[in-house]
Formats: sequence, C-alpha cells, structure tokens
Amino acid sequence: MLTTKDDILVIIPVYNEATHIESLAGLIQGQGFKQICIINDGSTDNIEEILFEAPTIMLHHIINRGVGAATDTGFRYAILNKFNAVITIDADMQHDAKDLDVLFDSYLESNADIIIGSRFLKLDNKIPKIRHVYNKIANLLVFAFSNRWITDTQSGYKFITKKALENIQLKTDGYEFCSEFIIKALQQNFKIQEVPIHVYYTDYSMKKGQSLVNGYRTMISLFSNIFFKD
Amino acid sequence: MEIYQILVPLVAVLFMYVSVRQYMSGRNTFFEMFSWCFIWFFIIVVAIIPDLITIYLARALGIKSNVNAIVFLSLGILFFLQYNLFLTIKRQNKTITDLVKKIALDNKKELPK
Repeated sequence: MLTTKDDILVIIPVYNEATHIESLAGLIQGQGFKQICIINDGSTDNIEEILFEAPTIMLHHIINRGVGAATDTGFRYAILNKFNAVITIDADMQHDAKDLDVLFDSYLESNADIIIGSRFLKLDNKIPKIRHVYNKIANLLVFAFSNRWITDTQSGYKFITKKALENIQLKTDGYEFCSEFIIKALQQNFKIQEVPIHVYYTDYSMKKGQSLVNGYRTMISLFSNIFFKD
Repeated sequence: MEIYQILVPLVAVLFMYVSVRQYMSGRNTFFEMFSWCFIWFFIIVVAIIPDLITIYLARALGIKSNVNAIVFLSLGILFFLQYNLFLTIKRQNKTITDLVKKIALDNKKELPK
C-alpha cells in the first residue's frame, strides 16, 4: 500500500515540555507531516493550555505513566484512526525534523516494517560517552534475546508500519519499551532497517534522558516483564 | 517464663483482633482474616513452647538445628510473600496504565481525515 505523508501519524510523547512543543510541532509540519499526535504524559507544566491547530491533536494521560505508556497510547490512537504508519520522535528537540524525510524515504525504498533512526551510524554526531555506554549495554541485552545487533536500540526516532503496530503488544511503561519493542519485532520476524540520523545533545536533553538509575530500573523492568507473565 | 513469651502473644493477639475487626468492617475477606489469624496463632504457639515446636520442625524438615529450621522456614515464607507482593504491584501498575490510556483515548477529539 502506497503511503503518503498524510497517512503517517507523528507521535510525540511529552512530559513537561511546554516550552518546546509548539516549535517542534511547527518544524514537523514544515516537513509536510501534518498529522501529529502529542501525548501529554501527566505533565505538571502549562502544556494543557496550549491550543494546537487541527489536525494536531493532544491526548492527556491524567497521571505520569512513563514514555513507553505514552508512546503506546499514540500507537493505539494510530490504529483506531487507521493510519498506515507512525513516526515517533522525542520532544526534547534532540532530533532533527528534517530526518523525518530520511525515515520516510528509507521506508519507500526498503519497504521495511520498522526503520530505526540510528544516532550512532552518523559519525559526526557529538554523543556523550555515557550515552554510548548506556546504549551498548541496551544493545547487548537486545542481542541476547534476539541474536541481532542493532546499533541504536534506544532511539526514540522510529518509523513503524501499521502491520507492526497491530502485532506488537507492549507491556512496559518506561524507557525499556524501546528494547521490548525491538525484541518482539525481531521475534515476529518483522523487517528492521536502520538509517543514520542527526542528534543534538544539550544540557537540557541530557537531564531529560536516561541515567544510570533509569538504566538499572529499565533493566529490572524489562527482565521482570520477560520472565514473569501477567 | 521469659519476657518475650508474654510480649509476643500479646502483640499477636492484638494483630488477630485487628484482622477480625477488618473482616467485620468488610475491608478483608474471610480467607484473609483466617490466614492472618492462623499465622499469628502459630507465632503464639512458637513463643509459648519454642523448643517443642522448633525441634519438631527441625526433625520434620531434616535440619539439624531447631534455630536454623525456624530461620529457613521464615525466609521461605517471606520470599513467598514478597513474590506475591511483586506480582500484585505489577498487576496493579498494568491496570493503572491501561486505565490511563483508555481515559486518554476516550477523551480524544476526532481528527479530520
């Protein structure tokens, strides 16, 4: 099925990002992706007061449940509204909206089910060493469960087709959903492709991202969800 | 008689009373009340006749020392309770997340397509 930009929903999970979200939505729409779904994950700033023009929509989690839960709400919204694909993007402005076209073009060329925007395939990206370490550990974890090496398992910039969305059921709520999603996709033999993307780290985005404590929680949560069924 | 042989049964009886009160007020099921009362009753018996019970337990479990028997048994019970607690919290977290997602999706505005 031929997918146009209007058939793609851009999903932005948001927690206390009121200062950035309007400009990010503008940049995304400037790339021709008009359908945006912002999921406010129980923010305590004034994000609920921001009025977006249609077709941008904001869904509200009444309490904070984590980036994985917020992204999954966006996935469910995309399925309910019959979008052909989604693109997830981080709200902290570390991603470049121009790379939306990189993901989209890669899909048109490869017809893969999932395209991951990899920060580590672009050599001129200035990525803090600690992020390299966190990512390598997460990559090893995914490799252990799936026997496939992905260079950026923790990337929040992904293109996902409707078929993959409908078949991958997420159970985790936090950052661990990135690993869970890839492990389940590989177990179900979905075609995954990686493309290089730009990334811009600032003090702000470093504070918002994963930390050592988060990484530990992520690992425990991922293991408990793999080994203990509901 | 040692002082703990008076204190432990007193505390246990207090907790048994609390369990019964919670059952009477509808905050606990009969099974929960019965289970807690059974545990506290067992603690009272161990406190009053410690040697008889613990030596019997040690022999029954094939453990040499009666103190070790009590420690191992207690650890086993604690791990079981901890595992139950872990599963309960996990289930409740999932229920809360599902509810939050449902509320978010139910309150959405329709997109023009």
